[in-house]
Amino acid sequence: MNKRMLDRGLLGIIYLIALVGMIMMLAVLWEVVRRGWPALSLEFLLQPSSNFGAEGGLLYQTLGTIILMAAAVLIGFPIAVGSALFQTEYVRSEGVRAFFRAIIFSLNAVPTILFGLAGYLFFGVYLETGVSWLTGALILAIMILPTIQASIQSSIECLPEKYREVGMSLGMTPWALARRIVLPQCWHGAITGALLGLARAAGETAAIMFTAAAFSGATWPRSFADPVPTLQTHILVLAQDSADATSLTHAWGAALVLLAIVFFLILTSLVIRSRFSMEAQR
Amino acid sequence: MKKSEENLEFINVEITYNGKPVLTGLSYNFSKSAVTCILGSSGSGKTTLLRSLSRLNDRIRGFKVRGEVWVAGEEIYYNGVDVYHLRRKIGMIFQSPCIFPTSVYENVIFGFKYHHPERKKEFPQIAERYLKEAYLWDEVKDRLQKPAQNLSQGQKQRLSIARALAVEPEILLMDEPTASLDPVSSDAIENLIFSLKEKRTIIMATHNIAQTRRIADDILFLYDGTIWEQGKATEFFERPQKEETRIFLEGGSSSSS
Ligand SMILES: Nc1ncnc2c1ncn2[C@@H]1O[C@H](COP(=O)(O)OP(=O)(O)OP(=O)(O)O)[C@@H](O)[C@H]1O
Ligand SMILES: [Mg+2]
Repeated sequence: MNKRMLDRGLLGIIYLIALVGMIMMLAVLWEVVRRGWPALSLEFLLQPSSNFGAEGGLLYQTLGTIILMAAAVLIGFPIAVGSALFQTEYVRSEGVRAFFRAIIFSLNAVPTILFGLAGYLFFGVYLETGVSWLTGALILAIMILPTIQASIQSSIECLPEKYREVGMSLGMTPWALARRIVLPQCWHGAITGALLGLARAAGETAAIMFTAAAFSGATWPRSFADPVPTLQTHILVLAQDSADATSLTHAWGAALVLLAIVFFLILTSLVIRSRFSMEAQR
Repeated sequence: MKKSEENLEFINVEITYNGKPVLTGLSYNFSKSAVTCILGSSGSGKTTLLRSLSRLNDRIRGFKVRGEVWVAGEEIYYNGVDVYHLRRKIGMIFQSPCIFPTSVYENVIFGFKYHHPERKKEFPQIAERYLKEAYLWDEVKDRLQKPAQNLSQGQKQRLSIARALAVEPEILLMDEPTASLDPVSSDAIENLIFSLKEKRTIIMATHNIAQTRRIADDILFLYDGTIWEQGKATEFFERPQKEETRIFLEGGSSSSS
């Protein structure tokens, strides 16, 4: 077999694997759309649920999910930017950098249920805050930190050293370099990271189940200590009630809404990433 | 020991990367308001010498300077030195122009804006003044708000010079400023260097001998990790003292013509 055939063969295998992945994803998408579509209506989207979700819509669930996501990113984003800049701009020792990278990676690898458990023990049991959306947002913030930070850091590391050198030669301090040169040229990485973080927070169930989510009756939070209903936990509850056909349809409907939110976020982040990294390379 | 405000001098300096010496036994007192050209073949340490004068290699691990480097009356590798203040006094022009992905205007005032955020009203004047000083004004005055990325390579280099000048450095380091430019743009930069030396001390690294003949007042020739020969440009070209210098000058002129 000559080299060219080997090349083609390998390429074929790669395409095949990609194709299988695509088909599986499309199948899942199709299933969710097919089953969830009948549940969708303006009422479904805009009405509060009643009778444990078997009737009504999922207004507060959607609201709860959005509140948790937004709060998590609002808390996590500045920390991620700070820690990415700290690692790329201030830390000069390779060893220390590797240490931080290891922490971030392991944070990313921790099963989310552990975040939920640790959060529950620390906030719920030790601090006795009970179940509250703020607790959930804090836990989600820690959880999505690695996602955001990795995105920012990779775009910062792509920035050629020469830009920093120009800044240095003009007499700028490391902080000024970070703020006036590095961040303005890497903001697309930061935005992409934030959107991916949002998407990850939206899909998360285990971490908020015991810490932030109310399973029924709750509306919007009136204080920091209130729990919120969420789409994720709503789906969980409805799916367990599988004997009831409407509950099941509602569950698929909720899944479709959640999927749409996540999909929209990821798509936006991809657009931003490709659009602006192209611009930065000019 | 205190030196005069205008002093720019190496005293018995050794520069090493990871313990490996690149330049040794450097002692030289630069003349002010003149163009000093640093000649030497590739890898002889021209860039290293320039960068050591404004501590631009601070971020590079394993880089070390021994001996005394005096800039404007201060020994700059002494512990208490304010590097940021030092770098304001010493501008640096890099071999290939590095322009920020913003407008022409924002690029010129980049450094000035950082150092004098309160003088906002003067920004447009500053931009005009230094673009004129860099002989770029006429070419860009109608497109100040356009992306600087669209300028030609030679215009970019002049823009980067304008940007450095706007911080009002007393000393200007130039690392092969015309290496990536065509002859016409090179001429423009050479003329610019002529007009700049009235008020500023210019140190330029190059291996273009013809160019050095045109603009140098003093010459430092780096060879074998040290200053091999030094002196006034006229004498250096007429009567090179050492064999290696002669070979370098002949080799250079035959390959560049
Ligand atoms: N960051 C670094 N780490 C280790 N060695 C380096 C580093 N930078 C430069 N050197 C070495 O120092 C020596 C001098 O390099 P320098 O860049 O100063 O030469 P130069 O005269 O500017 O060459 P050129 O004309 O090609 O620009 C070279 O041998 C080079 O390999
Ligand atoms: Mg060089």
